[in-house]
Amino acid sequence: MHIIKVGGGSQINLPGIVADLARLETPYVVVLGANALRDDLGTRLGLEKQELTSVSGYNSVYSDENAIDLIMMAYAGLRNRRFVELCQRHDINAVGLTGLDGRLILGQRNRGIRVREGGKTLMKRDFSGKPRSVNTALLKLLLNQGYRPVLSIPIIDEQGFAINSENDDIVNTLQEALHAERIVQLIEAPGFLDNRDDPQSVVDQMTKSELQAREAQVEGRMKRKMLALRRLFEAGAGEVVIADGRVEHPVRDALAGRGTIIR
Amino acid sequence: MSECPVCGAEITLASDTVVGELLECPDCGSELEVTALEPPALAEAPETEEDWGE
Repeated sequence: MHIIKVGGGSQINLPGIVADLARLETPYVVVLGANALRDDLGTRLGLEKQELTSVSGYNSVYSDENAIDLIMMAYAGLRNRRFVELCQRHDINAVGLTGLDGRLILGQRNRGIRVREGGKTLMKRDFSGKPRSVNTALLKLLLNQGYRPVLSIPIIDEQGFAINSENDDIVNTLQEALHAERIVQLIEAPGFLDNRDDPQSVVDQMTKSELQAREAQVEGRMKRKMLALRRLFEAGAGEVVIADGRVEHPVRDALAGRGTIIR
Repeated sequence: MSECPVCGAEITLASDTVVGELLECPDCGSELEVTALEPPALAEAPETEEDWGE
């Protein structure tokens, strides 16, 4: 069993990924990103991404109702449907799902964030949260019948609302439920780079115990990614491959060990 | 006029107060959130995580 996390960058080779998946005999679940598509669609619709800065300086995306609409259009709609279509054209019997369907990914709504606005301190709340559990029975039902689940945000909160969530956190929750032997993360880089400005500096192998030290070396969004990787191993991951999603055979190359292998 | 849900002190809200605003009870120092304006209502502000992510 594999979990294949497909990044949402604009250069990810989706047809190449699906062509590789069609030759894969091991069952898998796909988690789809679509951030570039979301931003592009948002611009076309005049729905710009809103960011908030907390009183202690963390930046977060503000997921109001418009943002959730946009997620439904970009992630659950266009990206998921087109990916499932590609799968079907390659004889993969894919089933596209969001966390809402069958309460597949249940999350807990974020409690709020403190921001400064107009000289006041305000509590802001939105439709975002952290995944907490997976409807494992539904996923296994599909997998055991030979279907290939293709998952996209939104997920569902305790009250049944659609909420935004990080795909890294979703992969962690899936791993806790499914115990995949291998997790493949396809990104817009040849792997984890020792020097982020040098694409030749791919780190071929990393031990899970190195992750904490690496986390201290990196900044910004990458720091969050490293933390997510560390949590993935805490969730029982055996092997994670971070590989280039832009090449001709992204999945084949990743499974052949090209990229960064973390054990 | 509203009441601190922690210590019961009476708190007068400024005229430009908005829903979601955080203020401190002048008596017990609890952090309070304005949950409504008409009539005014206060609740203890929740603990929050700093980083929502996306």
